Amino acid sequence: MEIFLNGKKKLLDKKIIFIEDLINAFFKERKGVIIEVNGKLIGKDDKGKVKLNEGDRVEIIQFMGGG
Amino acid sequence: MKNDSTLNIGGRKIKNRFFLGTGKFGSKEIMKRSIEDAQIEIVTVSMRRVDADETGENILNFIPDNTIIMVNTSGARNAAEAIRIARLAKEAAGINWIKIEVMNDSKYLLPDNNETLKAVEILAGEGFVVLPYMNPDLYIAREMEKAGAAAIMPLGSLIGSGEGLEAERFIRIIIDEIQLPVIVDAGIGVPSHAAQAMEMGADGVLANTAVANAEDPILAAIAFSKAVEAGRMAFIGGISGPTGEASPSSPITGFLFGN
Repeated sequence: MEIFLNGKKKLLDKKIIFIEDLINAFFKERKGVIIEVNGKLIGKDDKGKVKLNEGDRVEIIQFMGGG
Repeated sequence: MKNDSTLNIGGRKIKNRFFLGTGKFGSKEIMKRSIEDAQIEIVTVSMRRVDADETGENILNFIPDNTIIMVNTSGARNAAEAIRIARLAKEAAGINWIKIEVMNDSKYLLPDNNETLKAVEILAGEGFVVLPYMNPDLYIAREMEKAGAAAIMPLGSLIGSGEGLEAERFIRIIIDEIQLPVIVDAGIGVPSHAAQAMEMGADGVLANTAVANAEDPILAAIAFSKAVEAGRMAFIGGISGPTGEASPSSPITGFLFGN
């Protein structure tokens, strides 16, 4: 399926079903990411329960340095 | 000897009036040591989308417990975007201290006062501790104060420029006319700039680039903290500053020479 990841179209492998699969595929090394799907925050414990759908807008966000 | 009270801001009592930005540090470990060794109490962080191929840890893991974390809304081009960042910070991490930073100009990085004011009005109403970064304008500062800002953060000079208090005359107006704490932010290049801001009566100073880019950021953070403290003591101690006239400091009679 195709989703929007951080504002850009992304074609996902069939194996990616849950948010957790997306994180493991592309963001495994990154600790403490914030996940939003269609404007809604997804809690850590829900990563394995929330399924991705065609056209979903996913944002992967993190706190970084800044002045 | 006059006793200076701590800085009261957002319901907290702050002893170190030097606030540190966490951007541009070459090493997160050094950033952490800078905060610890300089006993920084308030830091800023940003929020960004993460690229898939980036590795790295959450910066929050490198900020000592009990440090007040203020999320900046950098990247926001208008009030709506700033508000979104603030609400995300609160929902994702329980952070409710927000430095409102709204700009639509990448050449000068000047804050958009009007959009910033709109964000103050909404976010203060939602219970955030709101510190707006602004271009010193008395009318806008008054509106921000009325809207419930916790402090006003007038720029010293352009972000990252190290040019010091270019806006000095207009910062003085804000200090004199606004009751809220005034935290001078942006363009602070050397500790003497920070001391100068405090001598003028500012309530605090925020700097990032000058510390992060120093050869020894830990020492730099300590230096800025001491400068802010010295400037504050000078202000409270009533040091009068330039008189513009020569006046001898030793007695004017009883000279050993001549008559």
